[in-house]
Amino acid sequence: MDRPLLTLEGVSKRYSRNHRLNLRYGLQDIAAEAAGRNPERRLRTSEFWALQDVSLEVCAGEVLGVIGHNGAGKSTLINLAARVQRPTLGRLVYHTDRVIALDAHGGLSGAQTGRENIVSKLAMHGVPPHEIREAIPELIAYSGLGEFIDAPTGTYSQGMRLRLAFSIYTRLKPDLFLVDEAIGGGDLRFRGKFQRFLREYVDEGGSILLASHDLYLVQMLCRRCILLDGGRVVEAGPPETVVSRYEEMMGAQDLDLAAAKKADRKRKAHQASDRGPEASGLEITATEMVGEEGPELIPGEPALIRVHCRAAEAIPKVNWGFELACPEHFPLTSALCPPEYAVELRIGDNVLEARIDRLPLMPGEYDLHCAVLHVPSGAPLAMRGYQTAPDSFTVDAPEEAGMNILRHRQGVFYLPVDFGEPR
Amino acid sequence: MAQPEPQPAPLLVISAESRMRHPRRFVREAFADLRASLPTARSLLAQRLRQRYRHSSLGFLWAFLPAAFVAVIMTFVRKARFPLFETGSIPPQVYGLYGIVMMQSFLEALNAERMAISSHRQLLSRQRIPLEAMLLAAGGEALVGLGMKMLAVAFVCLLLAAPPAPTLALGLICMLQVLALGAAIGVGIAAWNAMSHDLDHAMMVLPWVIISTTPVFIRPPQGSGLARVHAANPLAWLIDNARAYACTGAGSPALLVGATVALALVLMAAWLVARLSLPYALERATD
Repeated sequence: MDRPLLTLEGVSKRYSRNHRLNLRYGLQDIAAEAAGRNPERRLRTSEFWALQDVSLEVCAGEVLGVIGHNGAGKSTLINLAARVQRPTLGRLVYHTDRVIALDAHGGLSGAQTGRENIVSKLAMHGVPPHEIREAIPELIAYSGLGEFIDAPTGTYSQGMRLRLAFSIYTRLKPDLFLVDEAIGGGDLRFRGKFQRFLREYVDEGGSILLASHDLYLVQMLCRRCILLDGGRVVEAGPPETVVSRYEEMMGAQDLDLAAAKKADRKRKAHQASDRGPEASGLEITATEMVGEEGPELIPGEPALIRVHCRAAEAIPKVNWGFELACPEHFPLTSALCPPEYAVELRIGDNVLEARIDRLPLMPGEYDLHCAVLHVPSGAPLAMRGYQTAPDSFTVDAPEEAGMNILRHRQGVFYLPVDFGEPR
Repeated sequence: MAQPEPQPAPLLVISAESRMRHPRRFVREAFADLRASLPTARSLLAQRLRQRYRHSSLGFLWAFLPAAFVAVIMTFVRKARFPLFETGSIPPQVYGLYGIVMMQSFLEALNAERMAISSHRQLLSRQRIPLEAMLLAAGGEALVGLGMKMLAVAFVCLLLAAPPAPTLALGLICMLQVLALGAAIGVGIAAWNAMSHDLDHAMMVLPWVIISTTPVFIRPPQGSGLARVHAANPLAWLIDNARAYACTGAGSPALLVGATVALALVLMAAWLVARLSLPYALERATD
């Protein structure tokens, strides 16, 4: 069994939204604690649970990722674990006292000089004064800060702060790092160095509780991950699964907005009509895009586009085309069947079909706009989705790290690449 | 069958339970943090002193100037034989000088400690740094300020040929008591100050109230209303006792000992209150 370092047991934390009530509640809580009373389980007016009944365990050698949107409770969780705040309910059990919180400031005090930070950090973690004195020259050399060591770290660049922090933490060798969006502000080079530092730390058996929006970092470092929403753990498991759920959640929020716009568009579109059977004797009754082996569409997998149309009379030669659109782009792309592939339409129901070998679309919802054209004139015989509401289809998200990162970074399309045979 | 590996005993448990249910543990942890905070407190103090005078054209002279200014005013008052000023056997310049030095030190200690949480909120809410480091640094700054002012007092006394009493050392202890009273009040309200701006507004008026109810420049006639107000003000007792020991040697030993014990207890109580309040103050601190 892995050795637990930190265990949270049913931890909850409440805050107040109302600043005016903050002081009153604060003084009430202080008075209650001074009188030996435990916090009440109920919420007072304007209060909410920033964390609710969270239980988790971080073991030695493990990196536990915590993801969630802003306000989901990540920072509250880290603050509780760092003992900056106290839980309203539940308890935190520490099996180590070598826990260091690492934030965007590298865990350093900006008001103190680099040298002062070294002394106070080491002293706070129980390093005896004579060992601190001996360690200072070595740490200064390791950090490479030279004469800047006597300037306040608030004047340092983020890279300099990090170098100093690395050298101090390398000396302290904590059992558990608490990382809260530590690299949010850094440039690419900085982020790279930070990630290498964490990677090496983990490879040497270190543990991290990592709260981050950086899904790439989370998937790179973690073997286990939790998803917070409204202060609750809504998903826990391998990072691929949890990140995928997170993207679904974020996507659903975006879709709610898009759906409202779309409903409005459809309502307006239904008031008009595309060229129909009255004009050409041809009507497109439905369009669809489906997977080759079922209705699910997966990026990189084969997909079929079908146009169902009903002809009042036989038409010897037609070709057809389609456009794809998403809420942000119209058209996103289009394709037109070449005239030499023209087909004949029989009286009654016909199906026109095309195949996409590897679907290059990102997960999401799309609209399909179709037109059937006369050959050779190119005159439209029937259309669907231009003046009437288009048919929609959804591309599902596969649970894989690469796709999660691409979605998180708002990649525009999926590139089906063949990397050869696995070795 | 393999026995399950026993779970190691936890080193620390942080729960929602009131820390006052285990008062001995609470106090033990407080003293452990106090010891651990000393290096941080030292560096914070050095930082504060540098910052305090760094952006000032007159630098450390500001520590002397108010006291010197009061000495000049009191000299003028004495020459003008202003009838309301009664300072007993102590020359009025010296009386006023000690008064202003102690009042300044009292207010500096109070304000420095009052701001200890709010001015370090960003740091305290990111890292678990012992609050004691901030409290000690604030107290140290007030102490250094008192030391600088006492140099000004010594200089003025030399100019006026007003030698101190042989009990000057006891007078200095009484001055430390004045400082400790200010610090205790400041530490006690530090959490409140972090949660609300009310005290910032109150401090616009409060110093004047304290000065008017304390014998800073003058000693009111016996039996007057102001004398009765002074008699009810513990700060007035401490300032009078310090001045008496420093200038005439006629201080009260009972007050010296009693105040030392009482202030030690009050200061410790205020520290524990601040410590107890810190998590609440941090999560509810105003920007």
